[in-house]
This record gives sequence, C-alpha cells and structure tokens, in this order.
Amino acid sequence: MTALPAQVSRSQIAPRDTRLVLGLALLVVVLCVVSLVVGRVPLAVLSTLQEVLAGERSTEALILSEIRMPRTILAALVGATLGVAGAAMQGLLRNPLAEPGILGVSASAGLGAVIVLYFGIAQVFTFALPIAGMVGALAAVLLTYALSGRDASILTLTLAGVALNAFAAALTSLALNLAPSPYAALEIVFWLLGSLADRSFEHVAIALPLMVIGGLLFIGTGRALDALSLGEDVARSLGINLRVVRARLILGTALTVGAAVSVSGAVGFVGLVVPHLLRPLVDHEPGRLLLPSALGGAALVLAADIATRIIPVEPDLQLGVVTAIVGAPFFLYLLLYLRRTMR
Amino acid sequence: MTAIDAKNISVKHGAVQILHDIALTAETGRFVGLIGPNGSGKTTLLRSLAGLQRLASGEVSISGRLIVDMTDAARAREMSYMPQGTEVHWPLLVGRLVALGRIPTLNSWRGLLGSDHDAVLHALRSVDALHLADRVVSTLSTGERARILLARALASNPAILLADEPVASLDLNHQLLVLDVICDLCIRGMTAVVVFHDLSLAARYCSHLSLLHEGRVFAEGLPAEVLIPSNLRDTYGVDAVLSNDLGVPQVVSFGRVDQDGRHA
Repeated sequence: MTALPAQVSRSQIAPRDTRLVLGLALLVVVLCVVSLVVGRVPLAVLSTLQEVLAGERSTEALILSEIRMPRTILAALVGATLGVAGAAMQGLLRNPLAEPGILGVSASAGLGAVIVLYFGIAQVFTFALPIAGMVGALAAVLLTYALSGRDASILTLTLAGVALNAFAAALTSLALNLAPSPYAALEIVFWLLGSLADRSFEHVAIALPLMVIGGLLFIGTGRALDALSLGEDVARSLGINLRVVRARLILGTALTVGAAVSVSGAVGFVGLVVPHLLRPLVDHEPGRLLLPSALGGAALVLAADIATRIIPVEPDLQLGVVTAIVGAPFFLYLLLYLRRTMR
Repeated sequence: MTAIDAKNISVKHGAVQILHDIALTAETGRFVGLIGPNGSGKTTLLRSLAGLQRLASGEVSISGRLIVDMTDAARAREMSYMPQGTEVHWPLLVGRLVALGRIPTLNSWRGLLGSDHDAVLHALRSVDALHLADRVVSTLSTGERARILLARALASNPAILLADEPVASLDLNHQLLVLDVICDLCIRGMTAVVVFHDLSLAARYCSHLSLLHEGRVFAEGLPAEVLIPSNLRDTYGVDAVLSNDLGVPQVVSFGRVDQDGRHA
C-alpha cells in the first residue's frame, strides 16, 4: 500500500536468461570438440581440421570429415530437437511427463521409418525415411492430443502413451516377424535401439531441412505457452490464437522428432530429463524453457554419444541404450516426485 | 455509452440448450452482478460475453463493435476474463504470473518494459498482495491465489472485466477488499460483469443485477427490484428477503420452500 518493497526488482518482472543460455551454448561447443576428438582413433582436432580444409585425404582427415563431423552434428541436432520438442509438449499439455518417447511419438515415428525400411522405399527416394517418421510422429501427437488435450492428467497422458507405444511396438514386431531374412530383422532391431554410429553427411542432409522447419515453427510460441499456464480459456482471453499455436507445436514436434528418429532411431527420455532439470533455472516458465532445452538436449545427446565410444564394451553400446539406462530410472523418480508434490 | 451489448444469446451443448435467448447490456462504468442458482447458466453467459463460447445464436458487441469481427488481440486489449477456480499449472513466481496479464498490450516481439513493470506492481498493490510478488504461486493459500489471479486480470487495465466468482474463496476482509477494488475501478470508468453466489455482497456492490434461472433471464434491474421475495422463491427455492435494517443490504433466508410456496 505504501512504497515498493526493495525486493521487487525489475528483473523479477522481466528476467533474462542470457547467462544460462551462454553457459549451455559453451557446454555444447566443448562437447562438440570432445566428440570430434574421442573415438577408436584419437585425433588432434586442429591439425586434422587444417588437413581437411587443405583438401588432404589422409586417414585422419577422412575420419574427421566423413565420420566424426556428421556424427557430432547429428548428435547436437537430434538432442536439440528432442529437448525442445519435450519442452514444447510439456508446455502445450501442461504436464511435466509429456515427452516424445513416453507419449509414443518416437515409437510411432520409428514405426513409420521401419515400414519404409521394410518395404525398401528408403532406397527408392531419400526423403522417404524422414517423411515416414514425421507422418508416424504426427499421427501419434494428434492421437495423444485427442485423447487428453482438454484435461491432460498424468494418468490419461501416461496411459495414452502406454497404448500408443504398445501399438507401435506390435506393428514393429509384425514387420520383424515378416522380415525377409534374419539379417534384415537384426538391422531393424539395431536401428530401433537408437544410434549415431556410421552416419554420414547424407543423414545430416536428410534430417536438417525438416528439423529447421520444425524448429522455426516453435519460435514465437513461448508467450502462448506461458499464457497456457492459466488454462485454455484465460490464454484465449489474453488474445492467444490457440488453434494456430496448437497446430504449430504439434506440427513442429512431428517434424523435429520424426526427422530425429529417422536418422538416429529411438533415442528416448531426452525430452523428459532435459526440460525437467532446466525448469527450476527459468522459474518454471514454459516459454523461457524452450531455448535452454534445445541446448541442454544437444549437450545431453552429445555426452551420451561420447559415452558410447568411451565405455569399453564389445560390441559398442547403442546411444538409445545409454539414454534409456539413465532416463528410465529418472522417469520413475519423476513419477514418485510428482505423486508427492501434486496432491 | 454501452460497454457490453449481448442479444439473443443461445448456447447448446449437444441436444441440451444451456442458454435461451439471453440479452444483457451494461453501460460504461456499471458493476453488473450475474446471480442465479447453480446450473442457471451464469458461467456460460460470462464465457459467451468473453467470446470463448460457441454460440448457437446471438451476438455480443463491446464498445459498439461485434466481438466476432475483432481480432483476438484487439478483444483481449479491451476485456479481461477471470474464470472460476484458482488452478495454475506451473509453480510460477507471483510477479511473473501477474505479468501474463500484460500479454494483450505487447506486440509480437517486444518484451516487458518499465511501464509493464509498473502496471504489474500497481495491480498487485491494488489487491493488497505486493508483499507476495516474489513468492512461488504454489506456496500461496487459496485466498492469496485468488487475489493474485484478479491482479493478473487487472494488469492490462481493461475497459471491461468479466470475473467468475472472484470472491468465492476469500475471507470476509479480502472479499470486501476485492469488491472495493472492482467498485473503485468502475467509478473510474471500467465496466464489470461479475458472477456472485453471495447475494448480500451482490446487493451491496452491484449497480445492476441480472438473475438467471434455467438459462433464461428471470429478472433484471436494480438490486432492490431483482431481489424481491417472489423472485428468490421462484429461482432459488428459498423464503428470503432483502433487508437494509443494519444500514447495509443483506439477503436473509428463512428456509427452503417447495414449488407451491410451502416451507420444505
């Protein structure tokens, strides 16, 4: 009623996340460099990079430009898209458990890709794989939204995810069952485990356009996600066009996750773990969470992919296995935590 | 001047008709109370006025313009809507939550400025909640949260406030505080349409009442014209009178009555 209390500062009304974003960006850069260095053949990045730029075709130069670089770029891209898609889905559904993997979006994208692999369409035209992945992801997001859009309780969401995952798994099993040869089946299984090994710039070229379009769709949705904290009616009364926002977020998720899954297989839990860890650092605001989640996702997948190369087991660990081993217990912990805090 | 003019509003949920041909007008600066028993259509009417409800027929205009012709953003700049209930989906900071009310005044890329900051603090101060500005909303009591959400609705300095039971979960002191705030703003030119359950408070604060019953306007006018025993009996099914014996309007109920007017 009288003078302003000193503790209500300008920054609390309009905060900036410059430090957080720069810190995460630095982490991503460092992990990119590590990812280029680490592997069967240790590389001196700078001198090898000079060789690559000079056009020398030494073994080191080839390893860096043909193997490590696409792998690193894909890890960062896949991680960024999974992180931001997780944050976007959580904001849209107003539920911290919403995640492409748990909701069955990744599995459905995987199914789309498996169908393309199975029928050999992928060889016929290059973009068949990411487009099939995207269609699978889109179907899953739309179905989830229809099942639980209005009142996305933890229970409905998780059950919808269980159902979708089971259905996608069943059809994938069918494809395996009918696979022409055991070798083809094994190829599909390994692909589904999620990996970035032996990827080339061709994979980058396949995934990047869809990821960029999907990423662009997320830009500018932050304010709508913030407004949705107060429910759909209030968001609409604040002038947010929910139909447009919903369409952008759903299409953006389908494009990014579909593209990511089609080049890396199913890399689970990134979209769950990353936004959850970063949320307290942005005061739990869904809009401010988007960019940090993209950077955090890139960092996590880069780190996990480096781990698959460092951990000395034969054959090499698959990326999806590493993220699942870290992510699944985290999911359990999150469920228990939410049960305790939410009534 | 007419701030809100709603004509022939009908709303259907499937085969069930919720509102039948309702009309409601509010002159600028009026404090209009929507009253009526549970299920009479108060919330649906308020959502219709806010442009959130699909109408089977009818039209709503604010300040002379049809809301269907206005963009979402233009409508939001004129009118604030505060729904019933106090759910907030993330544990946001109070200051940031109230700042969400500034969204209609921002263009696509501009962030919050000093003027927004001042408006947020002003809104918080008006509901006696400035001291809560840096609290996390999930740690607040229901009453504190209701005040914060009202501050959010007031933060855009709306010409029209539509509020669904803003005082339902407040203690006596804060009920009066919140209604005083709305009343003061109406004196300064805001128009308010507020859903009330407490008829005494409605009689005390509103310049105009609209009594709904089974999706129709049963009576409207000055509080003393609307809150007469026959209306209260026919809509709420209670034997009650509006008394002014203590200097403030008070609706006193004596008991329930059945359809023939006998005490139940």
